[in-house]
Amino acid sequence: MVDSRDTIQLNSKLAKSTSWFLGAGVLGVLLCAVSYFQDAQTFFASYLTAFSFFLAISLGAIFFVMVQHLARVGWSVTVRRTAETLANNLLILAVLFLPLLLGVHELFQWSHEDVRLVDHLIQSKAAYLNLPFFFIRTAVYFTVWSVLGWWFLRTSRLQDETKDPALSTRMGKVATFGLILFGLTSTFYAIDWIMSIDAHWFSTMFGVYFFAGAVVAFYCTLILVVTWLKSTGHLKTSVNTEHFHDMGKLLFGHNIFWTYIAFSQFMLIWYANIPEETLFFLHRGEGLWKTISLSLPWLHFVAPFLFLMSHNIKRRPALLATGAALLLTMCYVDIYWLIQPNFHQNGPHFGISDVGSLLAVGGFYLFFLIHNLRQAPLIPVGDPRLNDCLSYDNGIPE
Amino acid sequence: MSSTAHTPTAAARAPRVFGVLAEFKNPADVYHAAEKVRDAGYKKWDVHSPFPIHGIERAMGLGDSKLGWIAIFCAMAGAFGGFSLQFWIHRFAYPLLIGGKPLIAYPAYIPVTFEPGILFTAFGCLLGMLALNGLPRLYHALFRSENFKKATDDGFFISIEARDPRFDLAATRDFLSSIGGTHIEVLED
Amino acid sequence: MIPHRDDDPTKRPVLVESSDFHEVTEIIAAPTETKLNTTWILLLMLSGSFLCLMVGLFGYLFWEGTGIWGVNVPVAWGFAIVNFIWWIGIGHAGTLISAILFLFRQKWRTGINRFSEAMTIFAVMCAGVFPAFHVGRIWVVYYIFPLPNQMAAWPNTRSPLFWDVFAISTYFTVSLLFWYMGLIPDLATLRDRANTKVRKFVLSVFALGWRGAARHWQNYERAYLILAAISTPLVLSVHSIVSFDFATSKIPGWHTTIFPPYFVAGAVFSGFALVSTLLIVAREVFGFKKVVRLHHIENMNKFMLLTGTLVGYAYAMEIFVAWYSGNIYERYAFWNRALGEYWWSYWAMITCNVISPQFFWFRWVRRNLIFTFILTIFINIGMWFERFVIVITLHADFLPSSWGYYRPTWVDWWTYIGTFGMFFSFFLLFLKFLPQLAIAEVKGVMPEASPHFHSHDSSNSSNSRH
Repeated sequence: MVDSRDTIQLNSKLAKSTSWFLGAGVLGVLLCAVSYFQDAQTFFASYLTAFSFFLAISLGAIFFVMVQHLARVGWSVTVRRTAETLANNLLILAVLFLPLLLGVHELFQWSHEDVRLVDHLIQSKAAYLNLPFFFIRTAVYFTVWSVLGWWFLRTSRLQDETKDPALSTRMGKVATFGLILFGLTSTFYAIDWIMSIDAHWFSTMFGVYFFAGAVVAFYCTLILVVTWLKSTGHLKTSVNTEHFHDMGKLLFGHNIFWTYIAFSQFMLIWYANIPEETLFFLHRGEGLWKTISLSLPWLHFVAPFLFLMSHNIKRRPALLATGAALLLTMCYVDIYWLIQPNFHQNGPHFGISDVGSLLAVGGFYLFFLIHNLRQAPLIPVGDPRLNDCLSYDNGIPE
Repeated sequence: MSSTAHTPTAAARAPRVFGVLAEFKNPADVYHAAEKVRDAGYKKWDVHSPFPIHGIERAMGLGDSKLGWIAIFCAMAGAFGGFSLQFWIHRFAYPLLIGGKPLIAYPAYIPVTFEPGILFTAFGCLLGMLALNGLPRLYHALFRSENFKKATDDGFFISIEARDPRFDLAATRDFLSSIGGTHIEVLED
Repeated sequence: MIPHRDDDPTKRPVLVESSDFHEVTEIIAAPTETKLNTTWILLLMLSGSFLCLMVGLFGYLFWEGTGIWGVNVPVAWGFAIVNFIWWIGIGHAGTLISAILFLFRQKWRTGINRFSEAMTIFAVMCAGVFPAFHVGRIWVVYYIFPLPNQMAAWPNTRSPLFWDVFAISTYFTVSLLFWYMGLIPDLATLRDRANTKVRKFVLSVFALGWRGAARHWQNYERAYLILAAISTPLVLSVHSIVSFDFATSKIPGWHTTIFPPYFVAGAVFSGFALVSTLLIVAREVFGFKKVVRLHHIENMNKFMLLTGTLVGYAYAMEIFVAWYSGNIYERYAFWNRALGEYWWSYWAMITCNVISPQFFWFRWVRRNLIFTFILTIFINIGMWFERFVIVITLHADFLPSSWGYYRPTWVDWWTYIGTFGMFFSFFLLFLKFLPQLAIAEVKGVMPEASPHFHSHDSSNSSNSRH
């Protein structure tokens, strides 16, 4: 049972921080407006980058929640509410996405009729890359995600009250189909909104690459949010060292998976050296872009790998959260590296538009997150596997 | 005729006591007994069970296994060896340009850096585990006990060795019996 | 709806239908301690004769050269490579079950891990013979290793074929070490039950003097954990490197970045299928029903559904991106696979790999042994066709003037069939002489194994602690 002395309801002190996030969001909007009038294309590129980064976190979250139900995972119950709330943020992301619709012509070369007329490759893809179909697809992605994110949080909260174990079984069932929809929608979002910026380039792995990065970004965020909740006096006993150890292990493992996918994609394209594919890495191998490209293997893989290897680190929330924060930064760099070289060939152009977009999307994202964490207990108190989770032990000698 | 000085002494010929072995009923009993043996201050003793008992290291007060360090060392040695081999082949032994790849082509070296790292670690794990455990060792005093054959089937045992400074044949026997041990045997080396 | 017992979220699934450690020992040790029976001897003779056939055909190949195979230009990689990948793929289930499921604390794996690890080792052996003989001049096969030789030449380590040598040999060695390490406590169990001198001596030697000491278990468990942790990337790397053999090339249909994870998913898919096929038979014949429950079979079927769907995703992604690339050669390669001269192999692949696992959506199919058995056979056939489809893509490359048609010869067929003889010869020996299930690990997942089980009320603790 949950320790009755444990704080599982968000305290009012923390709830006040929402106004800060709201303020950050508003400031971000102002900065965005300024940068939009400076250079619309730069603004939309930055906004797409920041948006895709936060989207990745929430997509990782909905994936995590569904896998927990499908595999009937016990250890993760007390951190699952945080993940569910992160996944529920897909609703606010669907709103924050709307400005991008205005930037389609700034972002996508293929959307210009005159480009299509002279470019036979884009012409040959017109059955897929055309605006009506593109908008329909995008609407489908956000509908699917919003429904999934909303439904899992709602059902889990319902279980808080009814304590009905049959709801777990039902969430497990929905997760099966949800995962299939998730796999398809996240793949095609990556293809549509990131890969097709350079409409000539293609990689069959791209959807998997985006997914792998999204899951890493999610675990980093989960660790950070849970550490933050604990440090502000919540979840003292409900989330303990064992849970941090497990989150750390999953972060470590998924980061290796990301590396595997990233390396395979790079190595195969580098090795075959076919012009239409290899250009992608050629663009990212010049000037300051090369430094950023090299930072990915070193700071996204090698450094976190060495840092997170020992269980002595994973079992210390402060150290684990530090590692997670650095890795989360690299997840942003990764998405920046995917999108921005298409717009700034001569080197990265990090400026007011990027800061503004991060503040705008991030501010509202966190505002919505805290707002929703307030509505219900911080752990799913009605989950039938709660006791498994509370008594979980990795068996590490002290 | 021949004095005792010319033959092995009686003390050396007499079998030495290895230690005392006691049987316990189930994992819970042996777990709680282990906590008591630990608290009594014994150092040279062990629990024997047909499968690893969850958390027994804590009940016994054991430190962490050293195997991780062996594994890390082997992993680095293997990876370094694999990489150096390729570097040496292409830089010094047999530089050959094929397929437009540079001689020192880092992405292409990664698979053969990774695989030897894994291979060495695997050997390090198995051999390191055996070395830390003092195995293989085909003879052991415990194997003299007929009852001990259950240790690989459904028996749970605690053995306290005579070389433990706190060991005292009578006292240790009584102690094991007092914490719930049955079939107490004194084993000779 | 009342959930089935194994699905009830308030209870842990029952993995072993026994509460007695001794009974578990008896069940698993029994097959190794009974007399050889006639059926077993006849089966061994049968598979042994196929093994001899394989050896004979390799002798013939050694004498005549690869001209007796169907390979030609452009299809320079024929049956040998198809069969190599098929067998090595099958081998992946063992490591997946022993390593990845271990890391994810999937306790049901203890019922099947020994069995599938053994299968891995024999499957990798079957796989290994193909590339070895495919080099043509088998007497200079040592050229592929970085060994000092009379020509002072060294292999090109930037070639995927060289990576393959390292990947396969590492995989075989690590699987063998992992398997042997798991066997040590069980061999000790058999040793302590041995009733003849020879048996006791042999088992003593191989059990290395294991005496179940907690200090030993501690190092043992850590070694097992590290082996599992390194085997997980290893198992991913092996089939990825096999896929690099294709994907680093420029051949349309081969050069695609999704190949590495797609090959791994396919490998696990086929491996689980063969484990299931054999397990369903073994648990009937040897009476393991208390330890290998329907729950295990059902879980395996769920994994096949998952990996089958992932493979389907990869097929779809390949076709979509081939079209999306706008590259006419890529587009043609996939059009030709589905509608060209080898259309039948493509549709056999789709039917067996993508459609047949979809039956596992239904619970009654997952829990029906006959249905499962039939579907696993289908999956293995499908996965063989998948490799055939990929390799045969060679028959129509860039220039129509160099197109050709590949037809396997009788030697190809019988060599392939011969490897089954090799596989089953070893497998039958394993079934008879070694514990088919991991005795110590099966006991370890029983609720009674917990030090808290007997301390508290037993009906309660089996659910709350493990």
